[in-house]
Amino acid sequence: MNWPDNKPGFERLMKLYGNDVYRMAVLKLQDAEEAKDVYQTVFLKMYCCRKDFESDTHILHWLLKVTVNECINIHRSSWHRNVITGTDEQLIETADKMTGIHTYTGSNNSISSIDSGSGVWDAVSRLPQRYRDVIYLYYYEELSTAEIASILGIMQTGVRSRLKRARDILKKGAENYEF
Amino acid sequence: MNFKNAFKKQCSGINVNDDIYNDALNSIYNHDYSTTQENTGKSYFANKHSRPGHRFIAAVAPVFAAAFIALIIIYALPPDTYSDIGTDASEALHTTGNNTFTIRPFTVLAGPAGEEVTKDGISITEIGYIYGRRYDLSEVSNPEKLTAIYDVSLTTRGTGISITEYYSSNSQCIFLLGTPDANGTIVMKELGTTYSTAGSEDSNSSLYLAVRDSSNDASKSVLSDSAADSGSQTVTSEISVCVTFTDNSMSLKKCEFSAGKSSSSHKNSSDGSSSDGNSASAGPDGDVRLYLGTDYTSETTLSSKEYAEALATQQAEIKRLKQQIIEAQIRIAESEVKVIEKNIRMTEAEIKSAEAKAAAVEAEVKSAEARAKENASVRSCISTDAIMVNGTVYYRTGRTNNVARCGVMDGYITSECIPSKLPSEDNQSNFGSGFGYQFGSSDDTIDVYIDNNWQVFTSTR
Repeated sequence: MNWPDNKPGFERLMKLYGNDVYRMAVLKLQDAEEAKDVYQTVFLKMYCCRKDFESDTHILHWLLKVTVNECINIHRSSWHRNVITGTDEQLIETADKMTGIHTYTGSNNSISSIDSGSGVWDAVSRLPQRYRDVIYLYYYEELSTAEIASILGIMQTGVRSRLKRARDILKKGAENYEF
Repeated sequence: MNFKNAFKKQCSGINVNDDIYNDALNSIYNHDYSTTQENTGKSYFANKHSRPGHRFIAAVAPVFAAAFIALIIIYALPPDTYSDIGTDASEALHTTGNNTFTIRPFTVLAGPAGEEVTKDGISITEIGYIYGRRYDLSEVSNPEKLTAIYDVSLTTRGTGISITEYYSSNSQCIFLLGTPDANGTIVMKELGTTYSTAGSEDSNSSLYLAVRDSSNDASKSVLSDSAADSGSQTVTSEISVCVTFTDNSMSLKKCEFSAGKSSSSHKNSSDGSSSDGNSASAGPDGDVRLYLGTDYTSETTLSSKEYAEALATQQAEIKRLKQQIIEAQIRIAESEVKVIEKNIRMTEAEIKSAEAKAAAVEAEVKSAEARAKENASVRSCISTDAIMVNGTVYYRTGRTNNVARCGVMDGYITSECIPSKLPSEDNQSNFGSGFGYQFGSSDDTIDVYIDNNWQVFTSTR
């Protein structure tokens, strides 16, 4: 791919992988504006780096890793460390409003009351951030633990332990789900 | 319900709308790439390639910092102009009142031979080492109280020395300054317990340490033979040498000085002395002492001729002792050679004896093996179960013949012999009695009913 002259090719990649990047950013940051910034920054870096990718999988892994790191950078920023952004319910409401696919229903959507597919997003959103990453990458992107470990920069055993703990938390309120 | 499907369904609803997409495209295409670092992605996938610079800085920075601090310390300290004085490290800064000074280590040389003092103290040599020298004690008060005089011509080595001071902690140990006159006689001048000199020690004068008797009986001189025979006292003093340098820094060296020997030491010395009361002998600790005569102002040393004679005598004695040692060593070596030869002879005899024993053992082993083979064949024959019927010995074949037959026995085993022998009577076995038997299908077999089985015995092996 000839960067940056091949704009149609780049726009095709943005359409192909943009949703994956955006979902990952939304799930991690729980903030629409910040997810939008991450989305722009990730593809800006892709456009600038002129990297030769080996395959489509390589592109997806690269984008997810850059997304994760960019979200970490945002979390480390002084603004995030010094500003109280509200309660979990407020964050979830913000995320729901931004996505437009779910209507926040207050305390009825707590983890203990998951009984349908509509509450899965809430339950995952309530998880600690490090558990949300692995749940998204494992269940949605269907990546292996080795690939997740490469993207998150941790050991495979760490990925497995995070998955197990996340499942344990989710199972407490969703016994009718099969993991 | 499957969590994976539900989660994927939820996530699929989150998509990038056209506004976000267009904003991102505009931002990317209108971005000022002159300020964008290229290959930014490498910071995520190739951290190992992007970090070496930081690692190098992290590794080198402490070294430079340490070197910088060391340079500051070196330049902040005053120049060390006395590095040639001692080998030990400088001691800590000392404060006395308003004065602050540094005690620097240094080396003190003592004795006429210039031996370097040990680390633990200062070596002080008796003047008994020096033969043919006269001493004038006329300027010393109460010279009859002096028991011995030691040469403590301490010298300091170094530059920038302003004052050298000597201290004796015991008033019985006083310093004497000996200056040779035109005739070579050392004129002693009493200094007391302290002595100081500007700069290094005067090369023309020598410092001596005299031990004074504390007894009030002036008529009893410890320098006399009678006093020596009556026993002596031990006088201990701490001798300190303090050197003050031109920059007011100071060096201090101390040693424990002990004078006086046991009464036995005195007696031995007196026994080996000449009749005029002068003697020079070695005490138990190896020190040499010089005992002056009653007239301390008279000549107290040996003349050159006497010294030469004594020296020749000693050399002859040493030569004789060396000869004796050599002869003893030769005798010891000869006896060792004899012992070795004897051992060699014993070893040869032992080897021959061992060879003979080995041959005997080998023959015995062969004999034992032959016997073992013979016994094995005998045992294999005898251990077989057998019976005798009608004068014929039948041997157990190990086979059974359980075909249907009538229950009338043709005979019974009524007696038995020891297992290691073959039966020698009719109806006898070597494994037990009470068994019934029937003649077999052929003439040379007999079936014996043992343990509910018909065991086949045959007369042919």
